[in-house]
Amino acid sequence: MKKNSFIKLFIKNKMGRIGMIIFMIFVMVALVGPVIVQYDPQDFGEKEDVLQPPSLTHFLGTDDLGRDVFKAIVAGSRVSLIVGIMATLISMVIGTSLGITSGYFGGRIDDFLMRLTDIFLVLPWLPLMLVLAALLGASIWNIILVIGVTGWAGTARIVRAQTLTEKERQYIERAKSIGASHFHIIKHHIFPNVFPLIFANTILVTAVSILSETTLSFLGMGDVSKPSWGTTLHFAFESGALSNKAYWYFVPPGLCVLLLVLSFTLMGFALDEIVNPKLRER
Amino acid sequence: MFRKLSLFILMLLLVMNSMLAFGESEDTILKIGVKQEPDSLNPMVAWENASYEIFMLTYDALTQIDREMNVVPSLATSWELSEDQLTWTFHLREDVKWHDGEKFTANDVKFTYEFIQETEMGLYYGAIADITTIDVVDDYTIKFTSDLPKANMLQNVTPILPEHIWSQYDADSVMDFENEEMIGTGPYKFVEWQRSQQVVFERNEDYFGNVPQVSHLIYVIYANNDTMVQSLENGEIEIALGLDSVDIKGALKNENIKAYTFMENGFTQMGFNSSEPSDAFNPLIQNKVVRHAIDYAMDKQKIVDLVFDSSAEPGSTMIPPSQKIWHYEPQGDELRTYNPSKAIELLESEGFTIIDSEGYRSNASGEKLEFLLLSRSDNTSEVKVGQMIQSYLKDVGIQLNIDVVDDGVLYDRTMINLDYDMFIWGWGGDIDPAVLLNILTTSNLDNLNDVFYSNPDYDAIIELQGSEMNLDARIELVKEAQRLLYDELPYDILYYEQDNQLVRSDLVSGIVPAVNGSVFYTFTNANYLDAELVKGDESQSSVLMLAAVGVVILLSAVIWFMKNKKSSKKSENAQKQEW
Repeated sequence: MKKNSFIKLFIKNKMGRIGMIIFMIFVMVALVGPVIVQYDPQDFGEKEDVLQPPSLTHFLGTDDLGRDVFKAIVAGSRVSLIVGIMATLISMVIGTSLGITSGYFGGRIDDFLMRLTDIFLVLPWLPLMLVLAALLGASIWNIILVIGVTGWAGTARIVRAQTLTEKERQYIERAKSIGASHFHIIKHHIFPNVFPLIFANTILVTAVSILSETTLSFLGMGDVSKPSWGTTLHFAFESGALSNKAYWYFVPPGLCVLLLVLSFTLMGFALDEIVNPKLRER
Repeated sequence: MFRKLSLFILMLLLVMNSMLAFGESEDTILKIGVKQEPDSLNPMVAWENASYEIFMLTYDALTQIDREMNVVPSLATSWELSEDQLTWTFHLREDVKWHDGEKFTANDVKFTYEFIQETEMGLYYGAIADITTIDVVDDYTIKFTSDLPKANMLQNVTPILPEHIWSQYDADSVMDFENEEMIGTGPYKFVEWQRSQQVVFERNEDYFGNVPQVSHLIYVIYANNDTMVQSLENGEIEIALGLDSVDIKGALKNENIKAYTFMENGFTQMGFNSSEPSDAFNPLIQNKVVRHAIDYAMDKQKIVDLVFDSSAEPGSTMIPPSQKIWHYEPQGDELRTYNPSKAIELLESEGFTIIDSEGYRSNASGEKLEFLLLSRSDNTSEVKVGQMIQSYLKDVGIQLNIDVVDDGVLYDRTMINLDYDMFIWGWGGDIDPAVLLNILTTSNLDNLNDVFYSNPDYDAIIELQGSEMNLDARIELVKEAQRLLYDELPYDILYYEQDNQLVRSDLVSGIVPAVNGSVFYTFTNANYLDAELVKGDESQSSVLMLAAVGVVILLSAVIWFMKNKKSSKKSENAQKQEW
């Protein structure tokens, strides 16, 4: 598939287009926002500022320590995106390398790696993440690591399946017969052919990673010095914003998580349709 | 459909019927909503507050404490102290019977005290461990002797257990004794404990003191504060205990609800690592001047204003102000209040004059003022307090990193790994101030002393106050101990929290707060005896009840009618399609 037609197909796809636009907006906010809107999580207000509804000075009201909710959300977008993307990169690297190795070499290696993958697939991921996060302590890098090392199993399975079909192709046999090394074949023939699938999968895993980060932070495992949307939701819930009907405190971060995850899911579906011609509408 | 509905209506009628029947009976039931469940009914193994509250209802001690915190007679009618202050003689009541009808004698007292001393079990052990000999003079006179004068003899409320039931147990077998009968001498007899639902008591008609006004007492156990307050407003319970100021905001608008608000007998502290210096933490925290600078840098008033909506009190010394006579409030020069410039001055006097690009200080030998604070993930208030402290310390050039961890990890890191500089946690006390002061003694190093603080001067004062028989002199010693800790600052007492108890004043009368402002879960059981249900206007409530039932029946009839219509339409459609 040529690059141009790939992008054309993507733009043509309605879901892909909408997802892309939402995603770009969040990326802009995360890149430019914190430069324009300075947010210091330690900038507490006075007693009168606590849980104030939206006003001209506080676009989205204030939180339980009198801080500006809008600024917190702008700052949080950066944390949520960084964690989501970095964690996905980790799980992609692990998943892809294990998947290709397993599929290409087969035999005992395959058996061993796939049983390992099975273990990670059946482990309940939320308790596992909670335990790991509690053990390692709450910092943004630990959260990334925890989400990354728990989320690769699905990718490894998909990549292995594709590798299995790919390695039986005739050109691989030919490459082998003229003496190409395993590394050469994987690098120049298998990987490029599996890549579109990995890419589509990456987008979907990012959505899950962002959601995982929000879940962990909501359960109080987040890094309080770098508040993400999940951390904001956590403090909103714990400080009784719901019973006090302080909707401005918990609706915006929730909505942001929803939109960002939705954008990735839409893009993921669109890519899936392009990569997998069976799903493409004619 | 119709069958289900008629069943539902039948149920409603039954419920209504039982409620009306309840109104007619002689029983008066006081229902108290609580969140904490007892952990055991056996005084030897229980730890939770809820259990100790129950022991106060079913058992009696030699003495008891009244609402004004005075020691008054209970099982003992009078007592005297020998000239050398080493022997206490108690004269016991002769008309006391156990719940099972057996007679109570001095042998039960001797048995209980010796049993606790032999097994070394329970929270009461500490209060009576120093008694050396116990002599039964006659059936109703008993003598206690100790090597040193025993200052808290009368404040010791060890429940007296019946010898004829407990004598068959030893230190091992008593661990498994569930004590589901709870035979005591107290004003209430235990009926049953339905786990995570309720604990039921009936009054002891033969009680030697004032017999309780209500015939039954039920603790209704709730999982959630909001639900408990809702039940109180609906009149399902008469009393709700253990609430935060946020929980009661809505209920306070109800004029039938009276709130009893009081300061807890305890504190929340920031503990500083006082163990042997090692690489695992920053030894600069063991510099007293640095700790004083940290104390000056924090605006505790603003912390309680923001995090607790002003309902907590800024802290200073170990014994909370709710313990009026024992609390020491620092005065004049020794008092440290929010003063960032004073903090900076102190840090500079210690040589921390080099400021890096981020504004953090270090000294000439490159030691940086960077500390690690642990706070508990279970307690959001403490996490927020930690964030505020981080910000205050930043203002004076101290870098504070925060790890939010759960209780188990915090315990490991403070007791075993010791890889922290400070942590936030709290303690709760007893009527005797020694309980809180004992935490930081050298003898508690591997038990309660979680900062590994050890100071011979402090230990000496604590030992002295334990055997000081003159109350005023003992108060002076207790205050001296607090003054010493306030200056040494192994614990920075951050604040004293507030507790709230709600009472439906239109349903219950006779409730009088104790001297600290609390009505239940306090040092006296007086309100359990005096609480009385107000004779309600039953005719009115039953009319309301009938009206409600009528409305429900009407509504369900309408719904049933409409549903029926729909389903008949559906079947018509189905028939049409078939055609």
